[in-house]
Amino acid sequence: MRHHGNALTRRGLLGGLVMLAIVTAAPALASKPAGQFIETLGRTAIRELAEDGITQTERERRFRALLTANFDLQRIARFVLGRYARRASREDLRRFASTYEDFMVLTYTRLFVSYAGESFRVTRDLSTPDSRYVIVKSEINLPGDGETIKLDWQILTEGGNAVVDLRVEGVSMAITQRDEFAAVLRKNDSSVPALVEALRRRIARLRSAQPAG
Amino acid sequence: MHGHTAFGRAALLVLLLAAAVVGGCATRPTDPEELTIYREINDPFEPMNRAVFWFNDKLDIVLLRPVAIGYRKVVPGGVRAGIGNFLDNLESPVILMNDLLQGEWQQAQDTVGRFMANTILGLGGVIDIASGAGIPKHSEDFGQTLAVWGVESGPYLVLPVIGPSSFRDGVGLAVDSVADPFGPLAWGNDEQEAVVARWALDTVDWRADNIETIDDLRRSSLDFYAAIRSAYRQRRAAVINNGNGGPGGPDGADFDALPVIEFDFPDDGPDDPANQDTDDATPR
Repeated sequence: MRHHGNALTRRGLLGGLVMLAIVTAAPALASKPAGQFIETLGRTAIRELAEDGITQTERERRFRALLTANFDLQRIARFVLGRYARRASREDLRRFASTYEDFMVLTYTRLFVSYAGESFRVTRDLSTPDSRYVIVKSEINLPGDGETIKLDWQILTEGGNAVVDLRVEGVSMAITQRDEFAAVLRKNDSSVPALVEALRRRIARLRSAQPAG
Repeated sequence: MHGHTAFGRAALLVLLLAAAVVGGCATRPTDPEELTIYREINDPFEPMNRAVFWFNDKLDIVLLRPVAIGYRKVVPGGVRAGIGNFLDNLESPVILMNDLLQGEWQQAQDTVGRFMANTILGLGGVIDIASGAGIPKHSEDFGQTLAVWGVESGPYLVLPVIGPSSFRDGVGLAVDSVADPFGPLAWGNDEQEAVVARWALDTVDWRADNIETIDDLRRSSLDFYAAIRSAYRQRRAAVINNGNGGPGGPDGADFDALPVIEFDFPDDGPDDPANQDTDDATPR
């Protein structure tokens, strides 16, 4: 009897702990303010990417880790294909998404590195209670002539925060890419594989043009 | 953005040349979905625009970019900031005109206050005293004024040397150039070179501020022309709505009210990878 009870208690305690962990973790994930999320992301990016003496490969690896952990890449990849995604096969979409990730890593590592050393601050968190999306406004002060760049982040807050778009002075990266990819697709009979091929060629060119280290 | 009149004739010549070479318009598609896209892009002169864009791009690579790099190397940052302030201050009359035409009284007061403070106390505009005193810089042009009055942008247009524009913004640029007192003042004092000098300095100053941005865009673009076209449109929409509500909103509804972009795809069905919760959809 006693033995039995003990086992029950132990199981109960363990179960309770697990429950407690779930209960406390879930709202913490969902309700973490988006502004704070961007603040943390910015600080992490500065610390990890602007570090002196790391190789380009290492920098790319770190950027990819930040990108996949904090951006909803599947959703962005679907968005930038626009209406052309509907005609594409699942396999084509998957291939596109994976190539697109490589493309993002290669093209934006340098951009983020060049911003990373500058002073970055979140200015406003425009959370609206009824929307799944939140816009966080931030600024970067460039050295030299003291120019300030406005960066706005659109974040999907469902099931934890994930960036879906970044707007530089009102210009959305997702919309610019969607319009650009649409131009490539129109030239190639709406073929997503042709776009993937074009992305791969560009990736190869960027890789070969990159200075070692 | 001003003082382009001196180059008007050369620009027109290049435009006519491009039109002659390419022979005008993009073909209008017959497929309804393609037709919708064609209308959205609103670039019926795309072949001609691409030709002019190509010309501008080459001109930039061989002339403007190297000059801008040299300018940044030779002229110290502080001096460049002073030159930038001076050039901005010269735009005040045109900005004031557009503040008034848009009924932006507070902005108009700011423009007058800034011009007085920076011209008198800021060594003729070299030091931006007003920003330090809490009167922030803003910009308006006649293209924005037309937009506030409800004029649509019209087809996209790439102007020779000047770059991305639209029918509306092209007209705006012409009106601003004519309305700018700088030209007549320079001519009246027999200082015609000042008009060219100002235009050249304006262009080089702007280009020097954007070396990395343009380099990055150029190297990462699959279609540089399409990327610039999209960015130009978005940027114009942003500045038109900036601070003054624009045609669609009440006063005070500003940049903060950026529309949320829809990242949901209900038509795709649950099969689509983007509609699944996990990133790691296992391949079959």
